[in-house]
Amino acid sequence: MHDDSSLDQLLERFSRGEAAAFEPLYEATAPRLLGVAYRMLRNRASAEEVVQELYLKLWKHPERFDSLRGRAWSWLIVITRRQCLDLLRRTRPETPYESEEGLEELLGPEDRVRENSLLDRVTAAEDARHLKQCLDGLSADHREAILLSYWNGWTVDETARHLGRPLGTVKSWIRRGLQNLKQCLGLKSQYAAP
Amino acid sequence: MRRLDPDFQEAIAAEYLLGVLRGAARRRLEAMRREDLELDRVIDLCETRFAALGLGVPALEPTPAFRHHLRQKLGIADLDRPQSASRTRIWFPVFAVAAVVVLALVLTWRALIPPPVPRPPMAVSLIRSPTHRTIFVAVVSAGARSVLIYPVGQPSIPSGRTLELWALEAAHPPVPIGFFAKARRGYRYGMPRAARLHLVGLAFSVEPPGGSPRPYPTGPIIGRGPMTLLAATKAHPRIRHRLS
Repeated sequence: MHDDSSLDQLLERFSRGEAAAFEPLYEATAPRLLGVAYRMLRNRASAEEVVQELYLKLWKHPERFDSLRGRAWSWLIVITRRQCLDLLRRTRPETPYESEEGLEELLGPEDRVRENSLLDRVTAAEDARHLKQCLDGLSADHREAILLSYWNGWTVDETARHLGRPLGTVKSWIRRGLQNLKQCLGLKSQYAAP
Repeated sequence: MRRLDPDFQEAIAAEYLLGVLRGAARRRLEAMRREDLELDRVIDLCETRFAALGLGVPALEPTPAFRHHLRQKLGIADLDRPQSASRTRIWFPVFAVAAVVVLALVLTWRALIPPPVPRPPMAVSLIRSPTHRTIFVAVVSAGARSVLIYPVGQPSIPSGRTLELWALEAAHPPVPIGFFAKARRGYRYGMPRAARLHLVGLAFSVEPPGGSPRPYPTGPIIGRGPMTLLAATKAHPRIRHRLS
């Protein structure tokens, strides 16, 4: 797999309109991006549509890459995932939220962050293997709730419906999963114990 | 504009990304994100860092046709076919004559032969376990646009796994249709276009959350069943209406 710096160079050449950069960039990125898109869309034709759109955007709007140099792989996967979510939302009926809750509730004292940033630690653990190890260490329920939410772009309501579990339970699984993920990455609890 | 605690921004970004933040809270955060560049940056960063999950996904080898089509879209000459333009110019008159002949044949054929039946008939499938116990009943609509799945009893789903439904085709790889969620009495799935024409059966496999990481089942097949065609005209009109 190309590392981020060599991928940066390929992306830069390609986004400058250098056609010769297409082939190595394609060889380095297309199989993995197709894999990500397929994982989300479960359909090869749709996955190819999304990845094709990504290359077209890179070719026509190179400025979008400028702010994220050094994170080429992550950036490509983020854009692929976003495009997949757009496609999923266009092709499935909008699911209304079953209830609403205010931001104030979410900003309650029990949720306050007291420790170091989760994200900083995730940065340190950008190695996918480390993240996977931490995910594998979660309980099956927590891991399933997090992965379903991430890969399908589901709201907690949709994840709860899919799992056939109460909304509060699944919400708690995701929060505890994040808490445990953070602990695995070497931090203290970010969320108050329920 | 109310600014969020910087530390809290990061926690809320993770919950936003995983869909925990809902309703008005979600909309309000999105509004704040549009005005607060720092919050926008933190959410982007969170999404970027979770993208490491994507590095663990198995790659899917693209087809040569995909690359060729992509090159065309980008306006980049296909290295595999450097002489294609000149060849096209040489062969164009031949192609044109051939196209006219084919068109004439097709028009003649259509004038003489009545049109085929437009849609395949409704079909059912009993999905049985390896021990021949029926665990799901499937009804595929006329036209194979959708399939209704009813569990017989409570399907056993291993903890931390999901059941994925597959369309089986005679000479093609299986096509994923969807997931069977727990505590559902029945579920209707849209049938992928690719699976409509040559459907010969259905199967359920046990897969990781989010489904098989490959374009085929990776976990054990807990049940499968062949399609049994029904005459579409014999189906009750209300059933046909519901299924089509």
